[in-house]
Amino acid sequence: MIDDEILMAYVDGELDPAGRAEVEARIARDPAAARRLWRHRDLRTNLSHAFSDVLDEPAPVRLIAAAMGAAAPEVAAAPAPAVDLAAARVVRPQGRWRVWPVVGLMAACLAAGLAVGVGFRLRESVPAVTVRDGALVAQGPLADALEYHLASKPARDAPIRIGFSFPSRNGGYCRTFVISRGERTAGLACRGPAAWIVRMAVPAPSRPRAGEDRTVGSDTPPETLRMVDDLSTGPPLDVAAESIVRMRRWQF
Amino acid sequence: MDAFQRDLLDLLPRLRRFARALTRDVADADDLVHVALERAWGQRSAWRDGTRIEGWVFTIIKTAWIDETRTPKRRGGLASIGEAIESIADPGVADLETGRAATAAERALLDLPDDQRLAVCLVLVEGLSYREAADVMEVPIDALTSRLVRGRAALMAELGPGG
Repeated sequence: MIDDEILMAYVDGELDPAGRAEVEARIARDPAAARRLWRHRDLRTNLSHAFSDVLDEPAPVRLIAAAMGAAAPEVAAAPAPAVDLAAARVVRPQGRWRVWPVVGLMAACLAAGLAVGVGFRLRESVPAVTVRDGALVAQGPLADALEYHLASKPARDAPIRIGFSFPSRNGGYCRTFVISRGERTAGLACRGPAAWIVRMAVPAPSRPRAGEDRTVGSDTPPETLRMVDDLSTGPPLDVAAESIVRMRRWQF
Repeated sequence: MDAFQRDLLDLLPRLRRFARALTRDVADADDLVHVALERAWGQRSAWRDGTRIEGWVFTIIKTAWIDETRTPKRRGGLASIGEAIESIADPGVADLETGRAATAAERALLDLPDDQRLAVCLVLVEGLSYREAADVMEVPIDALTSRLVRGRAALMAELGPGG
């Protein structure tokens, strides 16, 4: 009778070609051995999916920071953001975790002129928002820009520009944006569990003249800045922090 | 971002899975990953650039896990295992935090003795080769295969013909 250890090694891919051929010859003439082999193969398949849900979960910020080698002492010394928003802290509203020192990654300076282009054309046929369950939900290119684009490489003529991103007291992160096609709209959207909810949309200030720097101040209407002040629990994210938070799908 | 940071970030989902398979508890698993990542940074000079980082970090997790389970005071240590087994016995309670019931295979895996569970996790859940898994466990390869054989026999007995 063929040994279980050999059958396991076969399904684990640990046998050399001669060993594999021998197992295959044996199971071809021994139905009981073949059934045992299938059970081993099924168990391997079954366990290869065990705990796989965790692979799709957003990783906690504290683990991302730990993977990046973020150390607590550097955080305390993090420079203040250039834009004066709320106190430099990130609150984890669930209260389950300690407040983790990711601010160091996020705090660094917020450079002027960070309003940034995104690399696609706004398709006329897709409205930027839709109504779902009574909320204004971003869709199409606006949803893509909010979800994927970082406030980093400036592109002058992109139809949607992300201003900046900040942690919100409602949980999750919010981002300001400007749609520069047609009516020109400035707004603020916050990431909910399933989608970006547009919290505010107002007429955008006129386009900056050629050669004039785009800054947060000139690009974001005052009413939007007031809402940012009201919602934010921490400084705007810098580019490195944005790329990390993006991996977490903009949730705490 | 340097290669070390990128490798650790890329590996993070699998580190969390490995830790979850070991610890029986979502929060304990993430605490374990956190400790291991800090140790990895502390021991960074011990990692040879260009080699596979996976086995190295898995070894750190295994060592940290053994340290934790030998400290009964810790939440998730030996003191709470009886409690954990009770909650695991009820699939509706077992995975409250992940919002879904543990599969039969996951529950059976968590009931294995530690050394068998480690072997099964490394080879069958994480897909490591026998050589890699033996290196992570820091045991000879025949010790690994004997744990795999015993662990699998127990799992198949628990899960029955459908498992």
